[in-house]
This record gives sequence, C-alpha cells and structure tokens, in this order.
Amino acid sequence: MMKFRIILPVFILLLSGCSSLPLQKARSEFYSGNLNQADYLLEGCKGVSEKDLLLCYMEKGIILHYMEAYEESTEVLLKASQLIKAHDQISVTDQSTAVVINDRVMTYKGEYSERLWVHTFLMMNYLLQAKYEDALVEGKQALEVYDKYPGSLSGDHFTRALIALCFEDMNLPDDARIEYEKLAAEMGREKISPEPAVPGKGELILFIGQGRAPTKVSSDVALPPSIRISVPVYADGSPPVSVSIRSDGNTLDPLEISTDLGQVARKSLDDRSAQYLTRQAVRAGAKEAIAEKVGDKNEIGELFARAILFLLEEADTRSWETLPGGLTLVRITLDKGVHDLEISSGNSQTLHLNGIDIPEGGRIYRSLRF
Amino acid sequence: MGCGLKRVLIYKGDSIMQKIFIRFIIMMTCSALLIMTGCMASTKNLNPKNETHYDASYDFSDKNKIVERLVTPLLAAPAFPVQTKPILIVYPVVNETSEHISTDGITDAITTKLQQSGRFRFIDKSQRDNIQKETNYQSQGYVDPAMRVQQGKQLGADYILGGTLRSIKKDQPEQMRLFKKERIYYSLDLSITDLKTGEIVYKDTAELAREASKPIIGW
Repeated sequence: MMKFRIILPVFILLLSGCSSLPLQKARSEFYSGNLNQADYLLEGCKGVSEKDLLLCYMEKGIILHYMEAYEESTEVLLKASQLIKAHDQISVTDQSTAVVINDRVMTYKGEYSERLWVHTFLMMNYLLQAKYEDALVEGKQALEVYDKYPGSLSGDHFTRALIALCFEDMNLPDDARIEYEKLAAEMGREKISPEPAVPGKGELILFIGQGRAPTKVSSDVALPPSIRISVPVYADGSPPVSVSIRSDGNTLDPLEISTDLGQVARKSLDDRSAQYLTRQAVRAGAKEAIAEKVGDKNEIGELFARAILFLLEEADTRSWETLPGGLTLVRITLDKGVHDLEISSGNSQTLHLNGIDIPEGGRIYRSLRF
Repeated sequence: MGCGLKRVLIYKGDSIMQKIFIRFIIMMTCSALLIMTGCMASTKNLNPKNETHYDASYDFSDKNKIVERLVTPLLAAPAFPVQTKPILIVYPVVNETSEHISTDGITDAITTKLQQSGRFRFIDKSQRDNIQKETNYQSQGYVDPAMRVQQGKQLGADYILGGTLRSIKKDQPEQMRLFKKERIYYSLDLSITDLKTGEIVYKDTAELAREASKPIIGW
C-alpha cells in the first residue's frame, strides 16, 4: 500500500515536469557560442514536450537566424506563428489541469511580447533575403499584434521602425509615414524621418542584438495553513547600449532606434497578471478543498496531501531565452561602392563588416549579435 | 492500543491514496483512448472546382473564383478587338495582404486562361535569361549556322498586365462571447497598361468578403 503514496505524487510531479531538457541544453550551447550544436539538439524538436513546442520553434528560429540560415529560420518561425494562431483558444483540458497542479502543465502560448517578436524576426529574415513582399506580410501581422495588445507593446520601437522600413521597401511611403508618426509619438519625439535617397548613395541597415533577454524566475509567498503563491517575474536583463560605428576610418552618426526587450517583456507579463492571479486564487481554493476532503477521513493523509500540493505549486517560468536583451535598428547612408565597417557596443568586442557593397539607391541588410 | 490506531490510520490513508490512484489511472486511460481515436489518419480526393473553406482566409477556391471573375469580362472587352491579338507581358500580382499568399498562382491562372482563349499573345519574361544563354550558346559555333536562332527577332510587348491583391481584416471587438468572429475582405485589381503611351487601357476589380467564427473555448 505504501507504493501508492509514493507513485501518485511522483507521477503528478513528473506530469508538472521541468522544462524539456533539449531546450535547456540548446540554450546553454547557444550562449557558449556552439550554434551548430544548439541547432542539432533541437532537430525536429525531438524530446521536447508537446506543451513546449512553441518554445522549441522560437529558440530554433533564433539559433538559425544567428547562424545566418535565414531561410531555415523563417521556416521554423512560420511554424511558431501558426502554432500561436492555433493556440488562440481557451483549452478546457489545460485550464482544468492547471487548477489542480500548476501553470507549468499548460501548453506554452507565448507572452504577448514574444508573439510580436516572432513576426519581428520573420521580418528581419525576409529583409535579409530581399523578400520584401513577404516582409511586409509579417509587418502587417505584427501590426495586428500591436493593435491587440497596445498597452503591453508600445515600448517596442525596433519592431515599429522595422514595419515602417517594410512599407518603404514596397514603395508605400504613406503607410511608412504613418508608422513613423506612431513611433515618434511612442518615443516622445517630434518627428522621425530617415534620410531621403540621395544620388550616388545607398543605405546599410543593421539589426543589432545585444546581451540576453531576462529570464523569468519564481516569486513565492507562503500563507497559512499551507497555501503557496508562486508567480513568474522577470529577472534583471541587459538593456541595449549605444553602438559606435566607424566606416573606412570615420566615425558615423546614423539613425538608431532601440528596444529594451526586457522592459517590454515585463510590461507584457504585468498586463497578463490578472489571468494567472485569478487562476492562482482558484487553484489555492481547489487545493485547500482537496486537503480538507482528505483530512475528513485521515489527518495524516491531510498533512501528506498538503505537503504535496504545496510542493506542486510552481510558477510558470518558461520564456524565449535566446532573445537578445536589446535590439537596435541602425540606418547608415553610405556612398555607393565597397566599404569596411567596425561596430562596437559598450565595452564588448568590436565586430567587423568587410567588403559591404552598397548599391546606388538600394539597401543592404545585415544582422549582428553582441 | 496506540500502535493499533496508527495502523488503522495508515490503512485508511493507503485506501484513500489507492482510490485516488485508481481513478487517476482510469481517467488517463480514457483520455488516451479518446486521443487515439481522434488521431486516426484519413485521406480523400477533393474536386478543385468545389468551394471549400476552413476559415476566413484566402484559399484555392478563392483563386479560381477571382480568376474567373476577372478573365470573363476581359475577353469581351472592346479595348482589345478579336482580330488584333495584342502581345502582353505579365508582371506578377503584388501581394499587399497580411497573409503569405502565392500570388504567382493567380498570375499563372490568368495568363493560362487568356492564352487559351487565343485572343492574346504573351512574352515569357521568366525565360529571358535562359533564352539569352541558349542563343549565346548557339552563336558560339557549336550549332549548324542554318539552324541558329537569329538574334534580334524577339517580339515586343504592346501592353503590361499587372495587379495587386489587397485585404482588410477585422476581428470582432473583445467582449463576453463564446465565438470569435473574423471578417476579411479581399480585392484583386487587374490593370493593362499601354506600353507606348503609359495609358491604363483596361482596369477591373474582383472582390470577395467572408466571415468566419470559431469557438473561444476548445478541448
């Protein structure tokens, strides 16, 4: 009979399970600079729980992006985008399981900010492949996400600037102007207007990722008799710092538009707090009722049940961890022809972009990560 | 006495745990069976001419409808008398919607229908590089001079055929509801421009609007 007392809680604990192991390993390899190994670990998302599939697609999408495998990254991120749309429903199974166990057993649907950044990286991928029509499709989908969660996402200036750029690339200046006006309002500036095209010159557009986005940690409060409140909060991240760019020996002063991804993610999580706090309250009530029900028949059983239910309470700290802490869009106007550039960010290393061929009246895109 | 009470309590505790465990196993087995029956694979052929929509977004039925709607009046347009057989060059339909739609499929379908009508002739822009490669090869001395394709004999287009696909999407506002409604309006503008004068000599629009709803709560 003793085995039932052991097997059941172990089974439930396994159900609530920790995050899929390949994801953790892949993240670790990514930040150690072993991008190929990180990509290999997430091959086909094998070993990743079905509930974490979105995370797998998002992490793999970023890994492939920084491997400069933009086509493959696009393929994976499009799957993430489709999954987000498919999850746009309240699942009875998920909700009922979460009420007795914890939020980690639910299918990961992505924070509002992460849902936007799937489109952000897709836009970047398409622009880097000179697929401007597809980039604009993603831009329009990003606008739909902005419209859905305006309060949470208004701090993401990078994505807004990217959308404006997509409109410019499709020769839709009025739509671009509207986005620049919104951007100026969000940034508290009077006007944002990129340099107009000049004969004999072209543009280099850099997407610069810096640091790593903050991860979620658990913030716990214990209340008598055995209620544990465990909510996710974002730890401190690394906001973007100004970048210094030199071309052919000269320091440049280009237009830079940055987003602190940690700040946007925190706002996004705060705006979703009503959801998980309501679920937390319902769960605390349900767990208390279960413990009392067991206690009606057996006091030791109640103690045991309370201990298990207390241990089961765990904040959902899953998040997209390979995201940079900051994203900066840099627009550099250069003479047509070949250029060598040095890009430095704060105290970190200097990246070199050599042999960048700028076409007259055209744009060249590059993505970098510090 | 105390030892006996403890044994009874342990026995009762075990019995409750056993009941919970058995119920849990039954619930998991039923769920697994339900999932397995729901996952049985099936395949069937569909008639591409029949209208089939799973949601409000653009699909192959829409393509057929739009192409039919645009081509039929164009074939009867007085701007292109039957005897003239104008030469068209086709530029791909531009996708300005918020969906990844392969507009090449629309362009190809319009071209096919117009070409099959025998009222228009077409220049294949996509084969220009290959034509150049092939004619260059022929002029390098490998091909019998009598059989060489003479350069400078390609047809010049009279008109440019192009179009733009646009969409306007509207979601039902957030409120207490059981179903989420979505409305999408699509329009495809087709235009034919005279290459000599730059004048738009023909313009038409095909429109379609659809509403779809899906439950907010699911399994």
